[in-house]
Amino acid sequence: MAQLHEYECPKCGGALEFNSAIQKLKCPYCDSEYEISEFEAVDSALDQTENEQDSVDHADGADSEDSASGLVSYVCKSCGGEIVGDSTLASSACPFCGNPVVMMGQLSGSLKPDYIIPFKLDKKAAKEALKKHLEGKKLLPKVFKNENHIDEIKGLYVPFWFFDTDVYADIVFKADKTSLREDNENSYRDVAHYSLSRKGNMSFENVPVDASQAMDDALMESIEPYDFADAKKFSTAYLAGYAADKFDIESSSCLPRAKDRISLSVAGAVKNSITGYENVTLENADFEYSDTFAKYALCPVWLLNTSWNNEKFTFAMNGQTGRFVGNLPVDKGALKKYFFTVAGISALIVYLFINFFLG
Amino acid sequence: MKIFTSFLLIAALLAFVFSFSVTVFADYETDGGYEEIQIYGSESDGDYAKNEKSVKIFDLKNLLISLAVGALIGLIVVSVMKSKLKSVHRRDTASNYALSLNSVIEKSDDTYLSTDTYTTPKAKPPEQ
Ligand SMILES: [Zn+2]
Ligand SMILES: [Zn+2]
Repeated sequence: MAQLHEYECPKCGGALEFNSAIQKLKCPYCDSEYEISEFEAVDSALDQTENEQDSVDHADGADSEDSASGLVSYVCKSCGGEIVGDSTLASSACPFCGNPVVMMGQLSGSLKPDYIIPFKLDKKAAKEALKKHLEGKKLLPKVFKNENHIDEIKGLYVPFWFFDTDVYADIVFKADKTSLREDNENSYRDVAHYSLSRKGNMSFENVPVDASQAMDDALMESIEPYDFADAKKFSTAYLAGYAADKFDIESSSCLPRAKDRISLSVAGAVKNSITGYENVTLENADFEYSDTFAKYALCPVWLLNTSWNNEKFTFAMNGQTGRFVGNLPVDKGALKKYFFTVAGISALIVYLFINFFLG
Repeated sequence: MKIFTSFLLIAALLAFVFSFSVTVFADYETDGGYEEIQIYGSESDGDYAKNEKSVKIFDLKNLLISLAVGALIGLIVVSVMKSKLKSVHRRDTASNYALSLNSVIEKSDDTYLSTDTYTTPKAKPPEQ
């Protein structure tokens, strides 16, 4: 379970890190650069069965798992320090020597991700995005910008399931058609009611659902979408220098969430295709899914934890696209001020308008 | 929402004070015809005494309408500003990941059910 791996620089022995700007491994000590493909031999070890891996590890005596707390400890190969992480931690930095390490056992065998979307944006970009995120928000407490400090900023590979599926929809809507006519006595409005049946197929590709229990689902959905075109065949070399978690929610438990979103999309698309009717309302919908396929991929997320007034604020940035989200506190005083100013001025304008132009 | 109610409360209080003063004033000056003044101001043709007074009187109905509209506009502006602070939402759909949102329909079937007719009598043309 707890075999550690460090990517050592072949020239100087320093611990290599994945550099998002050049999409290569780079040695922070001698600036040598290496292609990911140069380290593929390491990954082939991941395809060994988990059983073999386990027996090797236990012989090493390098790991101890405290099943009660869910914590796992590892021994750093560089400095001998103890690295403690929760049972889903798959990659981290040694807290003592700072060397990036990858927990190989967390990613081997059936736990090996199919794909990884490498980081494209670095820590500096994340910090700048936070600054920008705080700009132009009138109801944000003024002191928040100054007093809010970043407690923690980390690049994390979050496990996702990406679902491909075809869906056959059989949907019934109710709808109206209105026509007007008149004779000498009366005018008539005829509302004709219809039942509309629509059947059709739609295909979806790479619908993401976050597979980590610890991650806030709303936060992860807010930084979507990821462009799966950039996904690479998984290699642990990408993890060097970043934290990574392995999945702890099975794909079968994530699929219903994907289906919920897909069915709403399909119902919406089918409804939009209806023309010539009014008051189109959904009456009944059946969805049949076929060729459903789940891919396990790690996605890059910058997580920023900040605190202000003893309250914690979490921000997330999509490490591929730069999309930045995070809820901010509301300045109640400013809220009242703006409300009464706007309400008072508009009431006055409306009052004057009614009295002098309509009265 | 709290702020909205407090604004309406203040508005109601103001309205009460104004309506009270208008009532007293109108009662005293116009001898029973105050109801018309209080609500509409006075528009009746030929009654110049009433017309002159109505200009000075606070119009309760208009005041209330103005306050309500003002509060509504304030509420809308403030909620738009507030929504800018909230950027974490769950997604409803997966439309980003649909291969094609067009030409999905393979079979459509429209069934006529019934018709409701609503009749409005025409206004009779003025008789000559
Ligand atoms: Zn080096
Ligand atoms: Zn170490």
